[in-house]
Amino acid sequence: MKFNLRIPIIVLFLLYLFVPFISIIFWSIARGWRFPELLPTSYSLRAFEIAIDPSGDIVQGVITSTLIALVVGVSATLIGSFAGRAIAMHNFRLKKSFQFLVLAPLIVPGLAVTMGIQILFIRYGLVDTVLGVCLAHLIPTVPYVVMIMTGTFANFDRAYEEQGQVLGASRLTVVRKVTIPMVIPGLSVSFLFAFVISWSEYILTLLVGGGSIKTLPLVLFSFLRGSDLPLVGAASIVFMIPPLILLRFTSKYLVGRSSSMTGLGSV
Amino acid sequence: MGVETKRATPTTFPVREKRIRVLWLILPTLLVLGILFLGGFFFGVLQSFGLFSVVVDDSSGVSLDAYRAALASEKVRAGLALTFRIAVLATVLSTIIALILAISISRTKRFQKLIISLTQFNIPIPHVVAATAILLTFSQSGIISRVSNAIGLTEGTSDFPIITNDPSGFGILLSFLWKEIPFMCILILGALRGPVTALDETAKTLGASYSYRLRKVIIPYIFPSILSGTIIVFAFTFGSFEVPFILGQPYPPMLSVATYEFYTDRDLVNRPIAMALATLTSLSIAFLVLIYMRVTRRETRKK
Repeated sequence: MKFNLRIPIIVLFLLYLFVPFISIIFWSIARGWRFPELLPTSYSLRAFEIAIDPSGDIVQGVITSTLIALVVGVSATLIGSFAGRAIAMHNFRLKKSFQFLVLAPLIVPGLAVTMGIQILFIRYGLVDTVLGVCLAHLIPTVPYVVMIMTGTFANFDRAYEEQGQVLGASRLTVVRKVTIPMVIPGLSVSFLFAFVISWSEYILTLLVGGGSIKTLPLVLFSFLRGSDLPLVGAASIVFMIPPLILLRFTSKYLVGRSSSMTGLGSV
Repeated sequence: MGVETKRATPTTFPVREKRIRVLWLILPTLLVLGILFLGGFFFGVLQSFGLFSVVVDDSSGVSLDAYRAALASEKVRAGLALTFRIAVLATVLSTIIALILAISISRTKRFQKLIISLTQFNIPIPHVVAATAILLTFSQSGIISRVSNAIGLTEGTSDFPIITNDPSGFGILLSFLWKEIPFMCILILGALRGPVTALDETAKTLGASYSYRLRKVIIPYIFPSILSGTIIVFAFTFGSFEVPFILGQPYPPMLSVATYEFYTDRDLVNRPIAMALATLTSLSIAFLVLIYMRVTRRETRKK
């Protein structure tokens, strides 16, 4: 290719990615942004004042969502890492079936599973509870963790652990001082994925939480039904911040020499 | 998952103890997915056959009425066609565009780090926000319409084409692409940084041109990653609910939205229909993915 197309392709792509952010930001601070106006003629922080009202829907939604996403992020990362290690480092009977079970939730839509599970959740009093919502969120998150951690443990050399054991470290010390530091990139990306999937989940929360567990996506949906676009903009911005903060700390593991995304490339 | 590892130093645990160790490792995942996922799916299927129904007497036994009703519905058929079309388009377009982008980015020396971090930027953005952003940008009174009005391309809101909440689902597609192109791009960039770099260097030293290396070394090597990515994207876009709920139209609805409507209908007779639709959706995705894997595996083996 003599004629260099690379730059225009990349620029066009970045425009596509960022113009929608610009419209969200302008809407959040606009005061009556009527049609032909290219940019809002007057600005106001009204939407953000509503957003930070401690008893308002957004703050309450942030609290509920953070609690659920933290619980789900930590538990899914723990649960899935063990399985990732088993798949990458051990051979066992029915391994293929187990791997199939891990991949199946990526294929079967969450809606299908949740509608079916509601009957069980009703029986055991889990509907309309935070615990029930957290349990439901484990379904789409654990498979991602298993895949990412399988990729991580595939490059893991057990000799380091044995070295530690030979030198007299206890099992716990080996895990703490050898294993975890070695797989921390995978663990971080797993937590990022699990947290973000749980944080963004709408339909599972709506069905299991019965509308009484109001996470941020439910709040945003109720704003979308209204016509207060500045409020929609402000809620969207609040909604994006925690995932972006997490990305800030984990991005070095997404694309790197030891990219933790490779686990996702091995379905 | 083709991850097989062979260790030079076999552990000294007796076989039995090793088996128990493996069981402990997989048990938590087995419990979560076995009870919650399989249980949920299983009870959904049972309900689609008219069992555990809230309104109809169980004793009438298994019936296929819900499936008949679902397949007879004009809305469902139109929805299936739309869902299939959008999922295929989203998968194919995001893969091709992401591949071109990833190769362009990996060949760009200046600002490469910045471009990659900008590309990563919207991976963690929730789909609900993505759909909202697309709505605010591409609707008839959105920012694109305002720009095109200002430069005289279109006049007023109604002159601008209906992109969001349109019957062909263009807005839904735009939202999927907005999320999935960066996802695929980062996945491919990750694969490009892998062991393929050494192979590529060797080929380069041996005098192979870039386009030759691209065809014979790079793309065949990252192909498995691309395949996995396409499966994730296809299954996700086929079953996704939030995006079509925000950017779709009442008719034809995407399958997930139609399912939800049957499920939340005041008339509880429609619940088994929702379950039947959900089962059919899962089976369609599984079937399509299986065929796809068959075909692509055969193709990769040929190479």
